Amino acid sequence: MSANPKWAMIIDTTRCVGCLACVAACHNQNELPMTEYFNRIEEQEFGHFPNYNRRFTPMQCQHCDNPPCVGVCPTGASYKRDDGIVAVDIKKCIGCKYCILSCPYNARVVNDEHGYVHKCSFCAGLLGKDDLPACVGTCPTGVRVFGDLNDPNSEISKLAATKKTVQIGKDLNTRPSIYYIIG
Amino acid sequence: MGNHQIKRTQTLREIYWNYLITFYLFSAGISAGAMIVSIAADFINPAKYVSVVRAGAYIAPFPIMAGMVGLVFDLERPWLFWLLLTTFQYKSIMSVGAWIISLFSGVSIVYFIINLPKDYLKLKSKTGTVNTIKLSGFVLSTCVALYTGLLLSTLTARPLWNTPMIPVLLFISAIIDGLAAISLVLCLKRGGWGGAPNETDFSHSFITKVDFTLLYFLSLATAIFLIGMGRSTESAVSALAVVTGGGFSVSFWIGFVAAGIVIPFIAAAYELFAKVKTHKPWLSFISATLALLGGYIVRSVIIDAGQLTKTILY
Amino acid sequence: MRAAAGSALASGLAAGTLSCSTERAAGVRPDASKIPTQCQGCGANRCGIYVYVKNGRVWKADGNPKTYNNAGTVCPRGHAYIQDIYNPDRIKQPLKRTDKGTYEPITWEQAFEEISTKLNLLIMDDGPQSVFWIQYPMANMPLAFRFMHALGSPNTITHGATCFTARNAAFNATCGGLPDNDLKNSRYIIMVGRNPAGGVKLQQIRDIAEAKRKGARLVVLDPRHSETAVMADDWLAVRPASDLAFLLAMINVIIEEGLYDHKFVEEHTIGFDSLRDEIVTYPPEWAEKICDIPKETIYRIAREFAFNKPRALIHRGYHGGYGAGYLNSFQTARAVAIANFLIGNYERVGGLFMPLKPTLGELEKGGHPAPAIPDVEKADGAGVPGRYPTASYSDGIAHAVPELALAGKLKAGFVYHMNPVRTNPNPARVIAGYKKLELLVTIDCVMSETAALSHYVLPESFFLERDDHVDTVHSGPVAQLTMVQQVVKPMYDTKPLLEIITGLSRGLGIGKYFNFTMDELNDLRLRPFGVTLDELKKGGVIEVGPRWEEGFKPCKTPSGKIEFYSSQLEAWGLDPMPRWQEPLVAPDSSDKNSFRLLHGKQAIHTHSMTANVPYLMELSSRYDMIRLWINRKRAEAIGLKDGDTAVVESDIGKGTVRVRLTDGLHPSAVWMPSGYGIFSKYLTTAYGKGINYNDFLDTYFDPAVGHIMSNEIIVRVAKA
Repeated sequence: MSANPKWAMIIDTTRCVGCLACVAACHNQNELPMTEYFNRIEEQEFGHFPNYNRRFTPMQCQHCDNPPCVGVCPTGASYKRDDGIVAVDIKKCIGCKYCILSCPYNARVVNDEHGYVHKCSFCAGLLGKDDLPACVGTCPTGVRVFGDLNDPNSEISKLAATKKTVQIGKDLNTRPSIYYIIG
Repeated sequence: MGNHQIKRTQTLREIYWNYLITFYLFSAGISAGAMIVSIAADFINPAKYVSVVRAGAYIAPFPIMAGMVGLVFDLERPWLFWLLLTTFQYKSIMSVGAWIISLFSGVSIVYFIINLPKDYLKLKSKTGTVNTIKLSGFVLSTCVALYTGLLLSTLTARPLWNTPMIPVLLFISAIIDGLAAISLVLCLKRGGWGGAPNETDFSHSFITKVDFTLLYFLSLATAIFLIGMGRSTESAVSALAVVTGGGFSVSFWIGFVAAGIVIPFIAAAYELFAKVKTHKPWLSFISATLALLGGYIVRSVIIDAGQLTKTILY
Repeated sequence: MRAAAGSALASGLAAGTLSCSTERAAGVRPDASKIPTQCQGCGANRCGIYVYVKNGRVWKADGNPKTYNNAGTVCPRGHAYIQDIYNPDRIKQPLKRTDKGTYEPITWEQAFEEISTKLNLLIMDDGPQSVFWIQYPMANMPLAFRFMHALGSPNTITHGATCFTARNAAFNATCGGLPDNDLKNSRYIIMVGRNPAGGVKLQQIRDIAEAKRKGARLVVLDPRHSETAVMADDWLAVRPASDLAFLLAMINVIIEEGLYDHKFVEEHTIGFDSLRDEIVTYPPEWAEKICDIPKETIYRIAREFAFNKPRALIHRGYHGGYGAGYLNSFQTARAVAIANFLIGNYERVGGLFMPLKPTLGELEKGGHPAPAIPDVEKADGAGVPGRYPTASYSDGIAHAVPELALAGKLKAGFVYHMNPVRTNPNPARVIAGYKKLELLVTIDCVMSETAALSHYVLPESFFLERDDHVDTVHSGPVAQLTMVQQVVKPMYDTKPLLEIITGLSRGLGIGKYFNFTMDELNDLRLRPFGVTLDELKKGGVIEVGPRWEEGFKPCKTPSGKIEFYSSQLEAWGLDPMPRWQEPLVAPDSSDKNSFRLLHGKQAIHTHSMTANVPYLMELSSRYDMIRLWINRKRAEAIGLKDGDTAVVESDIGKGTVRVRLTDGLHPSAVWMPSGYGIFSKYLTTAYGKGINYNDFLDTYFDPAVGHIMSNEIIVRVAKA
């Protein structure tokens, strides 16, 4: 881990079997109510029988470097941390939901009980202690690689240099911190 | 054989902004529109169009106040509403808008008072101050009318909103709505506030001409919006399809296009080209009511359909 | 930053302060303790997990990085099932069925006394062999064996005949046991109907992903584009029930083209010549007409497979494909075994190997003699020549119970953590059978369909509330000891199984066999390894003994070799070598509504036991997973659109379900997820959601193994 970490994730969709372990792990880790989600899996189908394939794409907050949700927030509750994480200060959130509508990734959700908007924080409370987000640690096929892009020796830095990755929604000028291997 | 994707779901489940936000944007539009029309009439000929000036001034402060109540109740945490006014986030249209609307509310109240028959504020002699109020009122109401569209059009995640035509459409529509509100008031307040014998007819004629012009531009803006979206990205085309051909098509074509544009346009054209000189309250009433209905429906359609469609990412 | 994805979370979080998200971290940094135990979210894998308890409440689970079966990861069921401790549908005290069919709470003492009195009378009249015990084979199976043997009954039964017995019997006949797959080191992996990404085995999908990273090729032979097929290089959409034709053709190519491992075949197998003579009748040109896989593809797969020898394998399989699916499943599994061993991958790195099984200490060593194994045939005929000779003695034949009860041969039964009324074919028949029993006792945490028929329901403590005995389920290439360890105090008046059996044993006159505690039992089981119970409880898993090493070890077959030709099978009147065998039933090709009904697992559900876990059912509905898969073209031909409701009907049953149109399914079949269709009204989350393949399946007994032939179902599907 470098002195000024820049947290990022590489998601290898060619290994994702859509088991939803990451979704369930996130649910427990963040003690989410039944119908609130920080991450999800999207499924696509290609081709015609018998030339056919599917792809599962894990989707969540992309921790954009140009996050629309931060720009639109009228109270400054949504903010970008120095380590790249997009976070919400729930004390400042008035629940206008403008950020939800601004997010191309549909990554934000209203907390039913308290009314604030919350989202994936890369399990920020664990970071800096050599710990991984819940979705990363539980993945049976190692779809997710998480780490510090500013550390040249991190697994993610090495992978980013050797694999072709894409940022989803790059066109929208969001500059995501999650990179996908589409295969 | 190339890989082609079979599934492409465009309709999402959630509505985050409901009718309260539609009402908020609609009422802000009426207030801003009424203010713009009133001040414009005042600049052109305050004596001849005194009824327009006064009706506009009397309307302006109130719809937006009701709208603000709606906005507060749409918040998930309405008790924290005040946080909007303890910070200024220049990047956030909503934050900027909250400040503009606050200023607008203040100015519109002052403008309302100075247009009352009695000179409560002892300002009638101070022309400079009054003109400053009018000028700032004009600028602020323009900003409010633009704000309602910019609030939506700056979100890249929502293809239906993310077009420069949305603020144009909603701006023109806001002035039409303000004008319609003034027209309705003049239907109720027979004779207006004029001293001259034909004042109501003058005011009405003014309203009809402006209305005709704005409806003409609104129909152009709508056409450009439809053509532009229809020839845009897959996201835009599929979002537009939800409006023009999906579950919103009846609201859009009948509620907005027919009731909100075509019928008032025909009514205005009839009055202009048949050279109807006298005010026909029943016709004005129908035309203004339809225009307001169209104004509400188009916002409702745009807000709902905009939320139910999103930019296709991959 | 740490590199090893799997181990980081678990090792980094020593018990102490934790925080959950940025927002809350500022205000609350909760204390959480971390206790190792064994997951019971499925029963097959029993993964090593750490359970975190925060403010006295179960919070979350992480994988224990040391365990073979999951290596630090947890599947969705594991995460969700720990929360089921708080399921409001749990049974909170012993229940007795009233005359009106309702249940009244009773004390444990009353339950033990009434059950043992009744059982004593029944044993007096009909003998102990009229009693059976049926359970999902979890860690506590040896206690059940001991209990039944002490009573004098041989009738211990698992769900095996509804799941995997055809495969087990075939591998037993071929190599004398069930090998494991060294997927991680394999260069060429073929999955025949096996889908470890749906019927989750974390170690297997992890190893496949790992092998693929190292350049291995993955071939999935499955009528459905399974979740494993998502990772595959080839998806071969085989016609259901014709995997055997594909495999015979593969064997044909390997032998005809001389691609087999000549030395291995010479030294370690018998019956090759007979096989070679027989297999000429099954070239790919023959097979393609049956299995719908082009002959060029069969040639290519067979050659690629053999070229990678010995680091190539056909996965040994599980339920899907040939576990208990078709009339030809036993021979299909034989063909899988033979195709593997022809390329000499037996006991080789990257091939198949016999998993290690450390021998646990016995109770005898602590002065607790074992009851004798009753010298009576099992009522279901498992392992009995002339009846079901290749069936496994220890698994028995689960779906024979209703038949035997109706015939008056079984009078009393214990059902432990199993739900045959939902998971056995033709529920009406199963209900009739189980209702005929004069005493039915169910031991479970919730009121399953079976519990809701029982005379007595005894609530077992949830797995987080109890210790179970030490077991070796995590053994493969390594030998590991693990156990279920208590994490929190029991919430209700429940007991662990040993206390339940001990309580029953006193009134049954077999108390002398159950005069030990769980700690004593575990101490004895650990004794041979020099490991203390405290050490195991602290680490959750302990590796013992040497690791697996490459190299042929004599098979436990009559010849000590791999048997391509089995004289034993011949002696039992069965085909000594795999021959093409038609399935029992086939869809009517002239009827556009006629389909074969297949089923399979989704990663978020286990059998019928997790449908009532609220979070998992929420996932099912959020991802719209309670749907019948149907081939797009076939569906459109009968007017079905994606999401429509269809009526499904067989000779046995009828039901309605929404459909998912897909190009990822063979046109002759529809596919139903297997975890739904709960009809016990006590299971409030799951009740009435979805349908189950057992509602459409007739009661069959495969002539060799006695399995259910669960895919021999023809249904008519029409728009509702």
